[in-house]
Amino acid sequence: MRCPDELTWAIYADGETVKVDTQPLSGHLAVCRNCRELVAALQEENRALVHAIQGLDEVTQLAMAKSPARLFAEVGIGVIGFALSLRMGIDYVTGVETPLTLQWANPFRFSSPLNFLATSFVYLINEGGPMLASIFTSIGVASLIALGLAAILSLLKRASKPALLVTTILLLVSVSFPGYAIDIRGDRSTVTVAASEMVDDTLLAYGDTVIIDGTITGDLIAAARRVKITGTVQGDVLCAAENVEIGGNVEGNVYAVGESVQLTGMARNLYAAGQSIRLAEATAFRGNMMAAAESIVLDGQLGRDMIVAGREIEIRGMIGQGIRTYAQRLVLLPSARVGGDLQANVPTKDSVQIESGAVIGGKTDIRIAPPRPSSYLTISFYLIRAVWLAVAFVTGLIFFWLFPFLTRPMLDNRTAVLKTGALGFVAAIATPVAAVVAALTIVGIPVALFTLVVWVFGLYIAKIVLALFFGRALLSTPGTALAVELLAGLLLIAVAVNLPYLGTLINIILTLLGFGAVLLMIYRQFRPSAATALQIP
Amino acid sequence: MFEMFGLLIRTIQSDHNMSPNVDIQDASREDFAGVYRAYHRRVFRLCLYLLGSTDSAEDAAHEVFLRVRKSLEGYDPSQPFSSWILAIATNHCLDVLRRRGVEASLFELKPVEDFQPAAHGPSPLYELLAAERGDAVRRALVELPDKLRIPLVLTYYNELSYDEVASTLGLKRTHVATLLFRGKHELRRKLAQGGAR
Repeated sequence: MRCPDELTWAIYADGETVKVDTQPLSGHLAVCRNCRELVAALQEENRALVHAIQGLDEVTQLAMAKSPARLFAEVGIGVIGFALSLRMGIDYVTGVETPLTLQWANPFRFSSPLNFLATSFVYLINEGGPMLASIFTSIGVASLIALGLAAILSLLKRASKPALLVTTILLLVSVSFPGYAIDIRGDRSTVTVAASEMVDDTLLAYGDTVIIDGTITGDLIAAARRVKITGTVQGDVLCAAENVEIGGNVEGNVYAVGESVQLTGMARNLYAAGQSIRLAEATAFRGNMMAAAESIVLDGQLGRDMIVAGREIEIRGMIGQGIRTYAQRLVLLPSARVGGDLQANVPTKDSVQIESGAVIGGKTDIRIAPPRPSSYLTISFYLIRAVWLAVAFVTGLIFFWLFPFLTRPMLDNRTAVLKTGALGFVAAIATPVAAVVAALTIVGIPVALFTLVVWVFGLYIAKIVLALFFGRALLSTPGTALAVELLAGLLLIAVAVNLPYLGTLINIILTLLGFGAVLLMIYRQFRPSAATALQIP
Repeated sequence: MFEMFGLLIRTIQSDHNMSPNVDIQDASREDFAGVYRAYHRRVFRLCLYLLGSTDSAEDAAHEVFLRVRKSLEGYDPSQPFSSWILAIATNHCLDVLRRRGVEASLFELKPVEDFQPAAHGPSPLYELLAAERGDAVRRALVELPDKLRIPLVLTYYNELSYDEVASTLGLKRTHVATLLFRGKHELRRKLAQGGAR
């Protein structure tokens, strides 16, 4: 008998030879030494293969253990990043004029939601120094609470889920400060606090119309088509509505976003954004005013400074201190009284109209900044983009080094892209909302701040993560250095988001998509199967 | 927040991980945690071999345990539990591969191909044994094309018979034998190259 081929013996070695063939093959083996050796080798090979792929040797690890240096770097960068972002956030809020003036040039006006977010952010860090001091204390307290919670959770880990949930809620409730209790009222049509009624804590109201005639001892947070306040709010007023009308007496600050914001009452500071903002004659705000709107009219009294941006600004009333405006047109009527300096940033000299009779206590400084023909023709435009590119590149390199799992967004089919984008969209909107809600309890404030900082950072990282993805797709040669891929992707994105008109839209889409991808990657990284996976070769 | 997100998910699911390991055959209904603990590594590794990337394997393993939990009721104790769970995992991964569009390459292959190993090709045994550590073998395995890798994994990882592999993949028995044979040759070739490098 001629020796059977290796395939036949391979089947034999697997013990899978069909019955009728077994006999002759065994017979051949008995007489043929070569075949005997081949079969022995094949069987040995099978054993080695099983041994290897079943991982019985268990030597390798897919993931490298974290070196102490790397851990140190991660923590260090985290702390520095947190501090920097916080600082940037404060700078943004105090130097609000630039982004706000730019908004009017934006063909896609997403101003309302953006302003709402900005206003919420202002609210959160408004109290400045003293609040920061208390925040650090709170962070300490919160860490202690988190540690305690973690300890209790680990003790309870064998308990059932409901028990866990109840304990957690009880704990959270017990550490919340009762003074910051909150009253929530929502209705499809109208939420009313009648003139005789007194709400003895913070009120969160939403509906078609919110009318406050009575007294609220805490803050008022309202979202509706129309918000009207004629009563008294002892805390702050935060509202977002198509029409905001605030009369009455607000002892704290007013943060308002709306198509039309009409003020007739009293309050401390005013932060507002909208299409038209009007402070009627009866208005008396003791503090500052910071606002952006297409048209701003001040007929009443303002105790301190006014910093406003808009297309048309008209001042008829009294301003205790200075004015700084960024406007297409500024008019001071004869009745206007300005205690301090006037600084007007306008496109032409004719844009400022100061009528005789208007009084300006300090200096008048009119700065002409004619609209540039095209920002694409200026050097600074490219310089700023180059700086962005460089910073994003370095940030990306550091980030991908620290968190290598961020280099693998799963965007390989259309469904994944849609899902990721939707997640990014929801998370980008829900996160600040959740942060604002969290900030309603004292314990929640540091959490809220931290969340917002991480949120801002996540949105920043989003495009960098996508850049790497695009870079890889672009330079599909395997083995290309990560830095090269990242740079290529960043260049592509830099061009895309700066396209006239479409750029903003592309920017938003890319940011949301990237944000979703980042969240998904983090989710994948931290869920249990992933954690276990790291220990498996 | 992201950290907290991860922590939250881990906390929610940690009770699956932490419970003591109980006899799976008996307590399968009650103790999904034990099942997870006992089989996660095997399932994950199977998914890793079949799908070729850690990411997809993590996703797949996750899905598989969701399915397992749902269908624990339907487990027939007459067959080994491990076969049952690995079958679920295999089917899930094959679904994933089909969705990726691999189906064509896996099933269009002609049933009997005239594959003759080169006479001077690497002989059995040496390369596999020479790969002192299994990771070289595992890496080579993951790099194989799907149609060669999948039968190898089912046969030597799941330890299925030719017939079982054939019915899982919807192939003929002889076809399975050929694919296994070719797969092993390809493995040898890769390992020989790796050794020379």
